Amino acid sequence: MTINHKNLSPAIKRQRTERLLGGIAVIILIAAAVIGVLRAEADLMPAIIGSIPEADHVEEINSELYRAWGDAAENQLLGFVALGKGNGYGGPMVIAVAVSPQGEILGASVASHKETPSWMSRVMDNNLISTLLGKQYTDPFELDNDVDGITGATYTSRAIAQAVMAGSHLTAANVGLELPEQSKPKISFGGQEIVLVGLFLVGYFGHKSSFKYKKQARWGTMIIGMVFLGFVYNSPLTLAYINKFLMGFWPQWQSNLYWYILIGGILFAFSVDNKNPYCEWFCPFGAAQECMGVIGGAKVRSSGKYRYFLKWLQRGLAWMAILIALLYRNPGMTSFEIFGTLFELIGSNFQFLLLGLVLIASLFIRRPWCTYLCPLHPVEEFIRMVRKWIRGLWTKRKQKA
Amino acid sequence: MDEKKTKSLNNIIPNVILVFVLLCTLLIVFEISGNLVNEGVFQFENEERPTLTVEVEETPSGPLPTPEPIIDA
Repeated sequence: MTINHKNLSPAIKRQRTERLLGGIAVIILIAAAVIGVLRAEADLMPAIIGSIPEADHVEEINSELYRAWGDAAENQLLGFVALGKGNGYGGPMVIAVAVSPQGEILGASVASHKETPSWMSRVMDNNLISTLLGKQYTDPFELDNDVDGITGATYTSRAIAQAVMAGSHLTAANVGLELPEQSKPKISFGGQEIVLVGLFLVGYFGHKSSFKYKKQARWGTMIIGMVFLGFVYNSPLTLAYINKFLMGFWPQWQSNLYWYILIGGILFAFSVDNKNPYCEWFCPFGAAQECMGVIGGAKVRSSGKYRYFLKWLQRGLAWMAILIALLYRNPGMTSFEIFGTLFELIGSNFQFLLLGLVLIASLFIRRPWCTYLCPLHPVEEFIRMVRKWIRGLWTKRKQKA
Repeated sequence: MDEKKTKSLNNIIPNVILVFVLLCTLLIVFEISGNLVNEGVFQFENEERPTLTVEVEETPSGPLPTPEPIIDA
């Protein structure tokens, strides 16, 4: 039996085109991810030298440890340089840590990182690394204990402290110093995680059409989401989270429980009833736009003849951002959201300009960022499309059987 | 009259939205490009970078001569 494609309805034709383009987009993304893995690792030598500039030269002991000599004849041993690893907001971070033979931190230099540039520069501008110099390998290197983290960049600060400690331990183990007893990683289930679980529960059950106080509950979750996930904890869902997930940079669950609840919760809600409670119910930036909308009387505005063009532009932008991130294996590099710009006042001039434009537009158009620009919206559409496609195949197979 | 006004407003809105989105997209492209430059993705290799050698004459050492005051006639 042949199918006459000319007789297909425009909706089915569009659906087929979307599936075809979606498939091609995924194949290209997979290719980018493979190329990203195969690409040569960053040259670590400048950071190794940078961590101990007074050294005449360094001698490789193994791929993670070097000996730093003060003279060409190798008579004066200054110390060791170890490549310590930490887990940041965007992914793994490598720091070259210069350590004296007695276990004192002499210097440190970032060899590679995957952090969002504006966050990383905030940490670097605040000289967090220089506060770690002079510490001993036996120190705990814990935020709010012996390390003062940078406000608004907790994950990055923690990763730096973690990497410097790992580097000092690597050296100590090599020199034969007695390592301090490693305490088990603490499970961080605090206010942030409790608020998130609460919002997911209200969002999940509130979504049901039978719920009587849907409108009130939605405004309640939106305000709580904006205040806590936005202004207090600044941890909205960003493209960097999705990129991290795709690249396999899965952080330690004990200290990143929030990340797992957020990603897991959304995927669970999608697979169970095809609904995403996060975006509509408690996305802090969505709530900020709706608050602006209440002030200006915003409405859902039709983009008329440009509808499909704008839809594909948004998809293209998101796809491009994921593609570059996969290619360079840096999740935060192309994360262009302006959430931190609003909630922490961190961002480039372009981001502040973008935020201004979006907030003004929010006065007249309902959620302009979500509708036309947010890179997470196309990701959500894609998951929905795949789910529908799989369900369709499943039903067909069942009918045949 | 009101109907006419609403109709013309409805015709303008899609164009306003288009301009808004294009402006924002431009800013996003600038932002991502800036990040790529910062990360060294758009960097020339050292060997490919043209170098220019300029010979500089040695300047005489010692204190600088004080200029003579200009006196108006």
